[in-house]
Amino acid sequence: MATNKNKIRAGLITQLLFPLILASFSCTHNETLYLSKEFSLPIEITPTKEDYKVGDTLKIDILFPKIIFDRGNNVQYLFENYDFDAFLGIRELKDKSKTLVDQPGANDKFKIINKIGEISPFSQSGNKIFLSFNGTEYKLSSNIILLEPGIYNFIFSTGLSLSNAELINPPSGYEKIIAGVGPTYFIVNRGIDININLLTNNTTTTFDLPDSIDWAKPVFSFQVIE
Amino acid sequence: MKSLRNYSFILTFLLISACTIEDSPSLLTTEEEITGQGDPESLMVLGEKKENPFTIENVRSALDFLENKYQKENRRINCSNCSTSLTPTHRYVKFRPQNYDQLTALDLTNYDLWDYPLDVDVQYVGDYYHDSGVGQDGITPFYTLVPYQYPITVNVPYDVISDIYLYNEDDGDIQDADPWDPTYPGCVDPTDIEADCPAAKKTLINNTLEATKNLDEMGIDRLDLYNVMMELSGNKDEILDPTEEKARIYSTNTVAGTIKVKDNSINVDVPLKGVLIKTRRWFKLRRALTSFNGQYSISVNYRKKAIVSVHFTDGSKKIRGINNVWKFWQFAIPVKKTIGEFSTSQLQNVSYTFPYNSNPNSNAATQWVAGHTWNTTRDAVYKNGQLGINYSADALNIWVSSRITQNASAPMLRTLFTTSIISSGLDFYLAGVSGPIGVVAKQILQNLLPDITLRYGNSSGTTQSTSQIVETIYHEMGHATHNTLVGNSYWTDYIYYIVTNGGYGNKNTSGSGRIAVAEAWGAYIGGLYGSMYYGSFSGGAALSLSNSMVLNLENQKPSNTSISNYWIPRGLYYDLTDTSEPSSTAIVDNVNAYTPAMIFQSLSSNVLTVGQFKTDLLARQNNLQSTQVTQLVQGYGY
Repeated sequence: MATNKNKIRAGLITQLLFPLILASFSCTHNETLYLSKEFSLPIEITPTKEDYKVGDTLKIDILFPKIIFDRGNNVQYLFENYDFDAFLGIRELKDKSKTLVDQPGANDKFKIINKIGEISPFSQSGNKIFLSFNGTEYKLSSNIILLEPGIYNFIFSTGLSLSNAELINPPSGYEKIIAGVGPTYFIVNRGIDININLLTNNTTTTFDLPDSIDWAKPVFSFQVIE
Repeated sequence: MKSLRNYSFILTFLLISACTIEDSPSLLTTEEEITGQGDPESLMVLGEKKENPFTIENVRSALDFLENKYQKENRRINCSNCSTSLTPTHRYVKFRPQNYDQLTALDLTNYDLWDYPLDVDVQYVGDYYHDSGVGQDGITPFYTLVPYQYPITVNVPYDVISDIYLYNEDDGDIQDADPWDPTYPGCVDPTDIEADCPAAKKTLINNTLEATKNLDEMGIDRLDLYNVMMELSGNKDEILDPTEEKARIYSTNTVAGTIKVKDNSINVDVPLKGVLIKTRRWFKLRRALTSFNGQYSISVNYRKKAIVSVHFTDGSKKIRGINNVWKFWQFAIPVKKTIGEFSTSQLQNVSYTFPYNSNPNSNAATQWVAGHTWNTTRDAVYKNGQLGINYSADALNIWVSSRITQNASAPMLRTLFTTSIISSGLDFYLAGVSGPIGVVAKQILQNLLPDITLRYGNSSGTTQSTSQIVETIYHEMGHATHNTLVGNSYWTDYIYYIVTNGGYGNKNTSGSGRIAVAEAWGAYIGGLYGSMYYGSFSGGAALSLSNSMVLNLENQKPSNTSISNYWIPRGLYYDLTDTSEPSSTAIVDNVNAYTPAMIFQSLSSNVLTVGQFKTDLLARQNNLQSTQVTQLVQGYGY
């Protein structure tokens, strides 16, 4: 009898253990999922026009939440207190035989007044952008006063090597998910009203790829007149 | 009891269900999940072994058969007992390397090696084949053809599987070149009219053409002979339609296509320039290098399916990889990709673009990284020429690895003579690579000393983006260029410093001046050439990268000692060429008259500190902007 009872007990234990064992094998890929997603970060430059006068003010605003969709609108990443390693290059378009980046720096042709976050010059063309993070949003609000006539360009960049973020709603079954941040670019004025013609007419730089390929629109060109 | 059983059943059901039902379903697509997991090792699966129709014995039997047939048909031929005059054209050889020394020696012969037998069907076309007969950790055999009169001198055990007779079965005007030639460095394709390889052209062995001519002189119909060879060897499905017109329709005169690599930073497919393309069916082996626009075209007639593959070598420059998913022997072979097996109609356009793969421990990632590394090393030489920087050496051993080695470097170990430094350099590169992989990697690296290394896994764990790889390889090519200027003694001390200090040390370390001067040059070339490269593309993404790379050079505040390696003046050389800086950097930069070539000249072997660099520069350039140069260098703390 005791033997039978033991057999029954053993059978029951087996029946209880079976699903647990099954669970331990069935839900895990035992693998790491590597993701590298692209992001675009919005910038608004106002007022939007091509010609300004000396003394006019351009307003640069950046505002986006810490949780954003990737470029393909497939996944959401959480960027918590994140360093986008952002730059602003300011150049005067003076030489039609050179690319934009080879044009002379023009930081001295503008006066920057920072309100939220900071645009901080470090060379004749280079400025570091420090976004303000308030726990839920990234912000920059700066005014740029135009001091001298000329044709100018603003170009915004992020760092080449951005650290990981966190994937919202990760798929189940992976031991580890690496939410890599791939190519990430600024888009000025939703890619519209950025006066590309001033850039292409005054430098050798071209903009002839379709938007489906060249989705980054990190530039704004304008003319300052007396 | 029953309720317990029911509970158990329900629990099982719930647990199984729990694996498929999520409260917050992920928005990832299946494709994204598959790509993110990486690819498997991509091993080739072989099918049925075929009776080799090209053995000299089979060809002789076929010729005897044909001679009898012609006699019965009263067809005139110019020989009797024709088969006795046939001599083999090639030996079909199987090399069996027993250790990594032998394997690397075999690779250095530049034989046209294949890691699978040439007389076996391919069931699944993968990138590599591993012979199960050598065990999981053994070295797979390699197969090749060697011209019959050519001695095999490499010290690797081998079997001559058979003596074979190759000729052009085609009766048309395409004369296939011999599938084997003694390769000269930098001349992997001696039939390429653009290649500068007169020596190889001169010594090209034309056994196949001679055999073809011989058959024609005998009056033998080559297509007839081919079909009899196939019939006698039991390969009836290979028999060609004897009507010339139809045979031509079902053959191809060229194998052609375009090879590209995806630049995921700008979302553009860029041509892969100068890589080796190999094609084969049976023993009909061909190869060519891609042109500047990634195109290749090989004149060859394949009447049935042929295999096409890409190899990151041109005979002198080779890119090899160390990868967690590979067999160890794969480390010694230049990175390759088998594009596939294609029908004759497809062969006229076999194009491929290497895609980005975010999993650094994948075959696809290594191949993709090799693609960008290949292009960038070539382009660095071109940009040197554009800027008047003299650099001619382009024979490089380049190693790329996922996350298991040290960062990128340009140890140029092949140029060094001090054995202990070479060994220490390898140990430094492989620091942290433990277990069998570390032992094997060192054995292989000792035989194939690295000039340039790249670790392409990000610190965050994913595969780096193209822009990171491009900037890093330009940086390392800056060092390779510098190496040719300063010579072995300088470089030995350079490597010794890094090995003994476990890196760059600090500003006060004895000998740090050499590091400051040389690493600043690497950073300068990385940023400058990277910016030039992306500046040549159209569009916003490329502009953003070009801007970022150049601003990174300018964004150095040497006074900020909290930044690691703050004392390496990575912005100095750029500041010598650009216009002024604002006061916030604490650098007074009123120098703009120098060029990259002028700066390079002053990085000679006797320049071991930033101060010596300044003195040399001013002396060579007649004190050009002397006061301003002194101010600038002072701003960098020297």
